Amino acid sequence: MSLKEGQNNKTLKNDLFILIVFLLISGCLFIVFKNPSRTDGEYALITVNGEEYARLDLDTDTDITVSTDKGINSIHVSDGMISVISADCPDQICVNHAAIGYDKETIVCLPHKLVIEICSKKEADVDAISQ
Amino acid sequence: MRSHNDIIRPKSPAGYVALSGFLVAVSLIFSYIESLIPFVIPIPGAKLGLANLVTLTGLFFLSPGQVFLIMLSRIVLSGFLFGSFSTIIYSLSGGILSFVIMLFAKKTKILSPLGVSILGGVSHNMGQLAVACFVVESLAPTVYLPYLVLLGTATGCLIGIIGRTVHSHL
Repeated sequence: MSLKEGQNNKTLKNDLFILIVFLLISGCLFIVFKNPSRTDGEYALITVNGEEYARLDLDTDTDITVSTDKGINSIHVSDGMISVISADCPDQICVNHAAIGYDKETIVCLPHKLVIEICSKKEADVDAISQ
Repeated sequence: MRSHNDIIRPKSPAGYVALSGFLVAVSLIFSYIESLIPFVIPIPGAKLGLANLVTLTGLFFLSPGQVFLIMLSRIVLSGFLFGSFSTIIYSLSGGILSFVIMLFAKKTKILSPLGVSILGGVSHNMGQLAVACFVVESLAPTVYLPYLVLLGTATGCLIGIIGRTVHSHL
């Protein structure tokens, strides 16, 4: 053993302290970020490169294909939920993501710089005023 | 038997290059093994970080500069071999941030590789998240923050336990 036994125990204690601190931090973040109301979203805002691409009403079932110079994402809306059906991005994270429909839920496709955000009408008014 | 702060300093430039090359190869194998494991968590940037084991162990035995070079080479090479240009950017941001944090954590001498690795795992994910926000020009990726902190802690802990064992046997 390269560490003396006493030093070993001391560093292990500090390690466990770090571990507990980060577990607590992530626990707090889960509580802060959790959306307790779980309100149904009104529409989905699709942004590409930080710019608005489309707004989809979640009550009407639609299929759209977002094609940019980065690639293609096929997006499907049904029963108030939106999901990415297929995409030609390398990681397929957006495709594997479960369908979303509650307020403030998000699907991100990083390779295509695409963000799908669920919004409710109230938020939109605030946004419009602040913009 | 080696004391806590002994740093291996190769006697010749050739020895330096040989050891670095060997460690780059080892970390590339780790990257390859990792690319074979299907890790389907729908969170960008979630991965095991096996290759970080080399950086972690290296920090305790080699000069920081050499470890940094090994890490840079590994990221660029594994990016071209198993990923794409964008994975290089994410890995670089996470890798450099976690390297700096781990170096400082190691210098405090109050942590074993386990604690250093947890700090590294979390900071790696934070670095990636920051770049993700920058790339999509939106704060939307921050919804993954709690998951990334938890995953960083978990993977950092796992790699740290291995690192601690490796460290005590070297």
